[in-house]
Amino acid sequence: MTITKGDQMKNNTFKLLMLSISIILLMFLTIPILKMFTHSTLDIFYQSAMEKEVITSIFLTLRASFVATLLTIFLGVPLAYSLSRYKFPGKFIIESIINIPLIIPHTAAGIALLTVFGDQFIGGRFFSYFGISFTGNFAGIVIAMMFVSMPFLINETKEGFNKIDEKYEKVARTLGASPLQSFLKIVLPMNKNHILSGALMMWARGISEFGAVLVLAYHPMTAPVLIYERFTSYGLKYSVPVAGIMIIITTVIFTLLKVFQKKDVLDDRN
Amino acid sequence: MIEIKNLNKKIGTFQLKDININIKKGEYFVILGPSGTGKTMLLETIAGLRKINSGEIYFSNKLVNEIEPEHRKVGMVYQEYMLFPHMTVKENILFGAKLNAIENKEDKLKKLIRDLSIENLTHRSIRNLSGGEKQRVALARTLMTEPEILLLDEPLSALDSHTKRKVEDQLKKIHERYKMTTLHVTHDFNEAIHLADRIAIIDKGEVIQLGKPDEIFQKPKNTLVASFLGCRNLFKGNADTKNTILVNDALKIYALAETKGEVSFMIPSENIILSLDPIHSSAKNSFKGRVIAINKKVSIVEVTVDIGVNLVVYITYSSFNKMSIEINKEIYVTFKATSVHIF
Repeated sequence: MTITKGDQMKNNTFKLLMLSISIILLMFLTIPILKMFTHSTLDIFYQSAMEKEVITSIFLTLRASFVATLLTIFLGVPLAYSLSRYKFPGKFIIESIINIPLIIPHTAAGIALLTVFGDQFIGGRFFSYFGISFTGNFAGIVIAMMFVSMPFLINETKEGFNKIDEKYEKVARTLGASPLQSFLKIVLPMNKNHILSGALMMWARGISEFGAVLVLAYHPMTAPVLIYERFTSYGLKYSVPVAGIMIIITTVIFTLLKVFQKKDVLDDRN
Repeated sequence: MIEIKNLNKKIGTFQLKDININIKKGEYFVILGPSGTGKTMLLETIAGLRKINSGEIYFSNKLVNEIEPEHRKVGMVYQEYMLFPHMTVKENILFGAKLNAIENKEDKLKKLIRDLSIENLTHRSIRNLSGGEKQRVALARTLMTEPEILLLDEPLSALDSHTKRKVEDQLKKIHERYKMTTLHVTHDFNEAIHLADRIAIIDKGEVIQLGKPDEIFQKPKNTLVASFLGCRNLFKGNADTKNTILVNDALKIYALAETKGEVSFMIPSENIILSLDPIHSSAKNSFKGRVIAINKKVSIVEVTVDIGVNLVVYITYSSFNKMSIEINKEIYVTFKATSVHIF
């Protein structure tokens, strides 16, 4: 079969049409982000970046999301493994529940958490014995971030476990490993890249969380809350630099994530 | 050594049914059957990787039903090798040895890698190994834990035919050297003949026939076994009391028929003589036919002769050339009544 000049022209027109439509959405995405860096003067940008309140809030955000991610690795990896390996009634329901934070308004998630971990409620009262209070505290920020961003870690980790043939564990068992040993020495290291990329996704999503954090802990102020506060109190000009810094940080994390995902694809091919 | 009594295991709609097998110490036992007949499932129940629904499994007269796989002293090698990708070859081989507190690990490692000719691979990543190399590393990893029973799940299926033959020889040597009770699962009957002391044929979760390779290949229990073993010349006919079978109401074949009525029977290709002239001998079956197909294999020629039914006969290349066999040539086939195997 030969390709005629007419066919080639049709192909090129189609390509041009698809690219033109794509550009509209890409512009919609990139222009506001770029505008953020040109809207404010470099001087205000620098001053904001050096402000103690801004630095504190950014580090608080990074730290809280990091703790939330660590806790979810500890609690979520066994959950992801169970969902990947075991068959049990209601599994489908549990998988749906895990994804609930992705679809409900995050302020609603904050309210839901407050009804359990608020100082006067059961969870709040229980943790108060250990000196932990959630409302208006670091712990509150952590659980708010954890609640809304854990689906990213759990789903990615589960996907990774699904890719690992159960026969690896079976061989490990016949070689003398207990179920725990075969999990720790074989399955977990084999799923390292998926866990890491899930953790990075969760960390980045946690950093960006606003709604749930706002309800549980307006103070100490995380970066997204600070952006909101600067905007409502001082206007656009003073909220833009903090927002710009946050965008830079999350972009770096996202680039790291892509590196891991690429590595994982290469590993899978080998 | 291994005694399996009335083993039943059900997964979904598939079931292993009343499996009874006795495997002697040091025996090389092959489980042969088509894909999807429960061979791997049977190995995994023996390894303790799957709990059974009913029945008993004994190792050296000890009931092992409730013993966890890590304490059964079995080694398992899968078709896909399952080498741990985050470890080097050496780390893979030593994985089980470290868990089992094996004495003189380094000496044993040296001996094993020499026996399996993988000395130069130990520091390599497993990603760059060939199929044959992976196979040997997987075997070394298992042997390093000094198992009493070696379970091999289609260990040669992923290899090309040249490597396969080499690894088959190596498996034979390893078995002779280590004298380990070996249970090898395969769908390849050539592999089974080459390696097995005894074979069990399994189909749809049931053991159909069990015996030495010669016994099974000479006297398959039924047409299913025969066709799976690649036996040709399977026919149906009507047996009468005069030790004859009538095929298609026309062809009369002499056989030692003990039953009357419709029977299935087989005439092994290697038991049939081809000749240019009629042979006067004690063989009671002699027919004139016409060559309708010639199929040249590596060491033999398959000649199909129409004698009323299509009979496949194996002859050597020298006989083939000497007799100048060609399509449509008239030819005689001769075989003894005792060569006709009735199911």
